Amino acid sequence: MCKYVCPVASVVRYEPVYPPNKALIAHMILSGMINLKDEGENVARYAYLCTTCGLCSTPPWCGLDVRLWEIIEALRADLVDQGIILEPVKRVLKSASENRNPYGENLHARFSKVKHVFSDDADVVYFVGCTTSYRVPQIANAVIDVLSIAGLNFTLLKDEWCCGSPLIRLGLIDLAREHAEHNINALNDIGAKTVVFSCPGCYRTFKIDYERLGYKIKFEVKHVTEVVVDLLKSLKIRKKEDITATYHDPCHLGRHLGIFDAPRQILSVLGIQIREMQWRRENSRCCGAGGGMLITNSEVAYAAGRRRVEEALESGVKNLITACPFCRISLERASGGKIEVKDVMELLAESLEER
Amino acid sequence: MYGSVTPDIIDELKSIVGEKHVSTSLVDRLVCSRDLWFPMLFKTLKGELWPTADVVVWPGSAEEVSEVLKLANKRRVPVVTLGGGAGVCGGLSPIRGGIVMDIKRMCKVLELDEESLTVVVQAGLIGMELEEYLNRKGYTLGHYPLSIYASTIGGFLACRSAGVLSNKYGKIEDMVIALRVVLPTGEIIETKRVPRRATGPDLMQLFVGSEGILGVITEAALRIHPYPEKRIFTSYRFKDLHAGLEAVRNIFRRGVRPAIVRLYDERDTKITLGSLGLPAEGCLLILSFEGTEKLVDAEAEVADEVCRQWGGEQLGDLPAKHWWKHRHDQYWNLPHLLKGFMIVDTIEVSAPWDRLERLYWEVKRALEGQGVIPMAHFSHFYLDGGSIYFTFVKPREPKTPINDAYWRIWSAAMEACIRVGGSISHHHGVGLVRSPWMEKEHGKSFEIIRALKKVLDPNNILNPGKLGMVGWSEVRRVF
Repeated sequence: MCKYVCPVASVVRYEPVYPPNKALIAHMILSGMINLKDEGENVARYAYLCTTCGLCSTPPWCGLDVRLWEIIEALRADLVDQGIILEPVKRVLKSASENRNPYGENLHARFSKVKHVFSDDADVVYFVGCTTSYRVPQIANAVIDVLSIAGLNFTLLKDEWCCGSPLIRLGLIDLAREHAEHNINALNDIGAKTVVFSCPGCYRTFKIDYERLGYKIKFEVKHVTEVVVDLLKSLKIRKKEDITATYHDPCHLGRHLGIFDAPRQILSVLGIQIREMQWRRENSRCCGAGGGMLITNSEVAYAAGRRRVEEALESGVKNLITACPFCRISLERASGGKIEVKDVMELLAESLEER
Repeated sequence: MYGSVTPDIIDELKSIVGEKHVSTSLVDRLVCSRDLWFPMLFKTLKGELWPTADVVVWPGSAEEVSEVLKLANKRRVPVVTLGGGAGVCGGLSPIRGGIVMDIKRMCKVLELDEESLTVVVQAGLIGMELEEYLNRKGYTLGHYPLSIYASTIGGFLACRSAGVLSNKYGKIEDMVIALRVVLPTGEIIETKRVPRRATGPDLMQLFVGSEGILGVITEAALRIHPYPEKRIFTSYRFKDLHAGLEAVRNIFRRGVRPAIVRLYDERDTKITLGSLGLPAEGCLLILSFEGTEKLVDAEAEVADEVCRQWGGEQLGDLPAKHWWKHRHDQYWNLPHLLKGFMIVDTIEVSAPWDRLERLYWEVKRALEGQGVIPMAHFSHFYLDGGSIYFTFVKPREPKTPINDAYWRIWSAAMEACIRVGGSISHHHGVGLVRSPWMEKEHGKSFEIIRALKKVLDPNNILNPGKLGMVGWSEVRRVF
């Protein structure tokens, strides 16, 4: 059944792309039927054709204790260890080593488009993340506006590096450790008690992957929608009752971390009518951008995004809301202007009145 | 003798379908050269290689399929067609190497005729993709095999598949109206899209169930139905299999066509009802009715009357609804079963009513004679008979070679079936596993299949060895 729900296989309809066959490929390597020395490039082709969205490993699509995204990440790490590194992965390796972000952007320009909120006495830190900082700073600025209007004493992390999510997804584990250590130390140094994320990829990395890499974090981590839900009563909101929208659950935020309701509650408080898609919540289909696909197979990611946009359009709405910078980029690019794509925090920021 | 897949053939294939749609990598060849036949699974678990093609191609159109076949025919290279890879009979094993052609890029819905209730699709579309498309438009194909999430329309047709609603909607051969087929020599033929005609033998049906040996199906026109207004479930318990079968036979005689009819034998009933915490005795019958509300209610009423006449005890809708909701869960038992048993497999057979019960007992006895634990359900019925689906496990016997045990089991079951006058397959097909019994199944008429193969595929390039075209020695060479 898992074969049916793969967002990548729905686009690249080659038999080896389907989830059970990726697990089969891993099995064939482990059992010595194929070896990475001879077949590495061919294995890499399929190992990187996965958004690691996890839908295939979710009941009822899978009734076994198989987490394909973990198999895929381990496979990619093995490929990197063997020196089989795809060109786009090499570029990320270089960029993250030199500039501490996967995009080849200047480290020192990280917050150049983001409102500067630095406070020495705040123990709440908003970890912005690379994609939000460099590609969709409007989400960061919306988060900053909302948290500021809500009166929260918070700060950005001056020396923020990539959280390591794209590095882990692409198999660059050693470099991911470097980044994890740096970020944890930097946050500890400024006495962070709570770290807030608007990027589900960063959030998942801090919450799940750092521990898998062997690090313990002392501070609490939260997604911004969880934080904001508790602050909604204190905010003055101009309702957006004229908007009917559908909500796209980001894979990392929803399926991986179980946050489905907080973004919907925010939309509901904003007065927005939500028309749900058939594939939602635990069964949400990936926007195509996950698992490093935007970097390694951007055209496939784009096509998977178009499919998700079509599903949104089928629900008969003109607004597609999400809570992830990757999803926002992918869906907006795939929308072809047919539907307006926004992050829930942007909508909330637009609706707030200064207190 | 077959020709080798030489570098110039690879180059030609690339020029036909595009460079990125051709692969000679071992990864692609292994993955695309297997289905879900037990021996493939066994080899996979043991880390043993299975027969592989020399090259995999992914054509995007019937025209590209045609060019590939023209080349293969000219150079005497075997070609096996891959749909969803969900077959359980070894039907796509490329035992002579050559080309595997994965058709899933051909996945468009080409036409929906709401007046004639017909949909035209490409053969690489996954069954559930079509069903979801139809549901959105207010229709259903009514074809729900357990592999619906993996199998293609082409695969359904090539293997004469049956879905769990077959009692109402029929098997795939009842749903197909017309086909577009590429012949082994590369010609593209189309059969006419009309409901019925009297213009000679039905050539379309030649290709339905041909398991890729006579042509490659690239498009199909299929009958569809308005999405049912109402679907209801009910269940009964009978004191034994005979009473249950008589009830079903009489339901059909009364003109009622439930969508789902599943009658479980006593062992299957014990497991099924036991898992629901219900008294696990007798034989469970699950029924569902769907369609226009008034007709559904009337059908359920007549069926209820018949079931009570045969001593059926009404169990309500729970067992039926539970099965409908969890019908795919049986996949997840397989890894657990394989830990405890040396062989886990299924065999489905069919017979007319006058032999159906005997067929059950004879095949069951044959399986038990091989140290196998069988259980069965009857799930596809007709006015004139039905099918039996045996699921069986064989406890571990450390000193017995697994392949010897496997073939002894199959041999005993197939021979028993032929003795009783049943058919050796209702809907899984022949592939490799039933090939040794095809002559006995068809008798003299098997010569016609052989002759057709010769005429349509003079160089025997399409899926060599399947559908009875090889004997025991070749089958045993694979497993």
